[in-house]
Order: sequence, then C-alpha cells, then structure tokens
Amino acid sequence: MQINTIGVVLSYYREKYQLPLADICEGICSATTLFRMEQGYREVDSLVSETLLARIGKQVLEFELLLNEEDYQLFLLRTEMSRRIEEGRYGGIEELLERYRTLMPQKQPVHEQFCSYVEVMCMRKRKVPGDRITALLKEAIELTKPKYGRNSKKIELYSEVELKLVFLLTQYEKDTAWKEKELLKMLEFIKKFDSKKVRERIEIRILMELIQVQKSRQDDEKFMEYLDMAIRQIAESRKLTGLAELHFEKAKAMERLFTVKKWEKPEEKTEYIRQYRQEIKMAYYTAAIMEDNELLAEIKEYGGEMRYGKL
Amino acid sequence: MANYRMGDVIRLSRMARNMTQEELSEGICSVETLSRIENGRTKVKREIYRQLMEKMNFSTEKNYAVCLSTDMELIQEKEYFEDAMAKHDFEAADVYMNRIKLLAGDNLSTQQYVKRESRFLDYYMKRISKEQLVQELEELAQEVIPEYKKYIDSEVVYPFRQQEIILLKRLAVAYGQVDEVEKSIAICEMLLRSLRQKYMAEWEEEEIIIMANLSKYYGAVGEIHKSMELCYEVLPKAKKYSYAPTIQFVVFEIAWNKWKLIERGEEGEEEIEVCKDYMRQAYFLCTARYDILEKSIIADFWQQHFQEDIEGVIE
Repeated sequence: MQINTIGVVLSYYREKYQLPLADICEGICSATTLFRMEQGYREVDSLVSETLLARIGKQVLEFELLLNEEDYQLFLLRTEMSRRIEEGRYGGIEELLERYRTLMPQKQPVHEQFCSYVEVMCMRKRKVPGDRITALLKEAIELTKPKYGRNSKKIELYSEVELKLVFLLTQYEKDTAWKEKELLKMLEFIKKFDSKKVRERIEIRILMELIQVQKSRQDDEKFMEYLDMAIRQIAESRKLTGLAELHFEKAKAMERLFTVKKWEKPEEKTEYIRQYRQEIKMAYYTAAIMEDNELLAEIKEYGGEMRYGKL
Repeated sequence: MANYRMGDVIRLSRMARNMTQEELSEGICSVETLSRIENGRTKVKREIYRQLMEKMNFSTEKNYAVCLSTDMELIQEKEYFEDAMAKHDFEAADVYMNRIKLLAGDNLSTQQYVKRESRFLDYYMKRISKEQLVQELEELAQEVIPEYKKYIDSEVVYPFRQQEIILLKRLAVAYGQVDEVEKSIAICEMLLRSLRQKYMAEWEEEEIIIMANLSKYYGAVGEIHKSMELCYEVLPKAKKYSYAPTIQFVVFEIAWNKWKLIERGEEGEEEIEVCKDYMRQAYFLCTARYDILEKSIIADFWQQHFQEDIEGVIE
C-alpha cells in the first residue's frame, strides 16, 4: 500500500497537462495543502481526494483506500444516496442526507456541495419551481467555483459533482446558444482528460442533451453525429442506460433521412434498410431485457411486424 | 478502486489466522484499543495497522498482485492495456503489455500483476496451452495468497482484496478451461462467502460477477436447475446496476440452460420459443454493444441448433 499514490497521480497529471496548482484546488483546499499532498506529507478524506482527482479527470486507479470508520460511513452514505438518485428511489433519502450532515466535517465546501446536489435532486422530485432550483444550483457551483461564469480559463476543470450541477443548470436554460456552449465545455474537459468512469456517468447525458439541442434546431447531420457518439460511448461502457432509446432515435432519424437520401447503387438502399431494421431490433430487444415497457410499447406502435419484419 | 472498512479487514484477517485479540495486540497496542479498532470505534494509525498486519504475516504492500508504481507512465500503459483487453483487442493489448514489461522494474507487486495479466493474454493469443495457464496461475496464487486453499472448505472467512479476487476469478476460469470445473465452483463459493461479510464497499458488484460465473460452472457440471436458480437471482441484481456484460452473459446462460433442459426432456418443446427469445435478446444486445465476439458465439449456437441464420429468421 503506497501512502502517497494520490499525491503522485495529482502531481504527474498536473505537470503533464501543465495545469496551475490553483486551478485544481480552487474552492476545494489551499494550494499549500495540495502541494503537501503531492509531496506525501498530508492526507485528506476520501471525498476531497476524489474531488481533486476528478478535476484532472482521474480515478484512484489501482490504489486501494483503507478508510477510517467516519470516512467509511460518509463514503457509504454518499454511495447509497447517489445510487438511490440514479435509480429514482427517493424514499428515505432526506433522512440519509440529514445523517450525512451531522457526520460530515464542518466548513468543508466539497461536503456542502455534495449535500446541495442531493437537495437539488430531491427538490426536482418534489417538482419545486425552477427558479428556486437554479438559485440553489448556482450557489452550490460557487462553493467550489467562486468565479464560475466570470473567468476566461483555457479549459474549465470539473469534479464529478460540479459536472452534474452545471449539467442540471443547463437543463433549466432556455438560451440554446449558452446551453450548447456550456455542454461543449464539459464535453471538451471529459474528452481531454479521458476518465472512463466519468465518461460512463456524465458524457452520455451531455451527448443526449446535445442531441436534443440539435433536434430542436432540426439539424439532422449534427443530430446523427452526436447520436453515433453517444451509442459508441455506451457500447464501450459497462452500462446499458439509454442504449435502447438511442437506437430507437437513430432508426427514426434514418427514416426521416431516407426520403432525402440519394442512392448511387440499389445495394446502398438495401443495406440502408437492413441497418435501419437492425436499429429497431436492437432498440426493441434491449428495452425488452431492461423491462422498459413504455419504450417497448412505443417501438411496437412505431414499427409493427408488417413494416419492419417480425420483432 | 476498492474501499475497505479497516476494522473489518483487521478482524477478518485475525480470525483467518486463528488469533485472539490478546495475541494480536500484544506488544502493539492494548486489547481494548484493538477491540475498538475492529469495531470501528477508533481511528487506526497507519503504523499500528502496519504492525498488526505484519504480525499476522500479511504484508501491507506486497502481496496483492496489483500494479503499484510511482511511475505514472507505467500506470498509463496499464490503463490502455486493460481497456484493450476489455474490448478483446488482444493485438493492441500485447503492444501495451510489452511496454509494461519494459517499464515494470523489479517491484514484486508489479511483477505479479504482469505475470497474471500476461499469462491470460498469452492464452488468448494461443501462445500457451490451457494446462500451462492453470499451472502458472496456480503458482501465482500460491505466491500471492499462499494459504487460499485453506479457506475453500472452511467456515473461516478470509477478507480477500480486490486484486486477490481478480486473480482467483481468473484461476477459476482457467480451471473451467481444463474441465476441472469443481475447482472453479469451490473458488467462486469461497469468494462469495468472503464478499458477503461486506468488508468491502463494492462487494455487491463483485458478487454479481462471481454469481454469474458460478451459474456457468454449475451448468457445465450438469447442475442445470442450480445454474438456472442462480441466473434468475443474479439477473435482477445486474439490471439494478445496469451492468451490461453480466446481463448479456446471464441472458445467454438462461437460453443455453433452457436448451439443455429441453434436450433432456425436462421441459417441453413449447419452451423452444422462450429459449429462442432469450437468445435473440442476448444476440441483439451484443449487436447494440458492438460485441462482435459474443455475437458470433450466439449466432453459431443458433445456426448449430436451429439450422437457421439468427438474423435471417427475424428479417
């Protein structure tokens, strides 16, 4: 067990990407603390380590964390709350949040920020008006990004929670140009720092949102480009979330483009129809496995055996 | 990354070594302190942790076949290697493994990691036989976790770490390849007993993978009903985590088991359509995930058993 692995990772990537110390630790800890961590003189709790590493797009690789009881309890509570949010099971989550708040270290922005994220998700579930949610989102982002939206960094660095908060903020934004700009900034960060786990959790959602932006603009070319990126991304990940919907979206887009496409050879048209049918089947069977009955019904209504062959 | 509850790791390790709290704490800390550490009521200092683990003959840094290095270039290559292996891109994985070997140095843990991973790669690239694979992984397991066999048929539970679990899972797979499936089953059952002690935060994810593997091994020794039970138990768990590789694996396993039950006459021919439906689900899920290897395995199975093209039938 190497005590200083996290410090070594931070220092290596900071130098590799030529990132200023202050950009990585902004709002999380002081530059001195980060420097001392890099040198192996200072240890911090698991959330602070995780947040700092996420700012450079990294996980703890093969490093195994042995956590003290308090930190372990907080870790388990965070995991449980995140899991429930992901699965849409909100019952009892506010009690968990209250317990977390009594156990967490005080005046630690990263812990405060995590709590705000959970609170926002609960408010969304309760259908609280959007202006109250956006106010809390901005407040939460500014806990670790005090100059958010007012600086001109070459590249914006995000932790996982920051990505989620900014992403949520874009969902309430009506200005599609601002929305697209923020989404592309996040996508640029994720692509540059290439952390597989963050990609699995966030990139898909960013791409889905970009797909919707292009759909509202009726830009079919860009729509298909983001759609293919998203499908490829899910296929390479270990998750299935969204895969059936995306293949269904692709099939529908292919049908829209079918009428405007020009065929040089008849085989091209046949191959296009084959691919289109395969998209429908991939959507259908993936939805069947995941027991997504709503989507299954939608696919059946859209397709049907006569039009697309036996499902 | 895995996260462990330190108190549980110490307690389970002590019990695996058959030591009392008095014996372990002697000369290191008071019995009361050890008791509080094990129950999670007090923070354990790193030095105390090191002394306790060393007294139990567990090294705190060596025996985990984990690629440990401060050389980030090496760790980066390791990430690329694991990515290529996950995509079954063995040619690329071979290139990364050669770079890892050049950078590895003489760190024991890194050497163990190289041995574990390169042996599997050698097997996939047909450079070693399945018998050689078993022999070399068994030797490595003896080196990394010398007493693992002691826990196979025992009530005593050993708190295996993630890297040890990876090695033993691989060994179980290798035993399956040489038709010593009983050994694969014994290893998986031992790992499940340990994981269910919940000393590791990620225990449930590991449990899902091991249960899925176990269902395959039960199927291989003809215990189809036991395999089916396990499949039906693990599938909702894998869906809960939306864990694609296991879902795909288990859905095909159900289809395969159904086919075996029909062949044995334990299920009627009316079940053939149900079997085919599971198989189609697995096939199109592989297609949707660009998993060419699994896709072709299912297509071959379909062709062999139903004398049709799986895609042709539904076109």
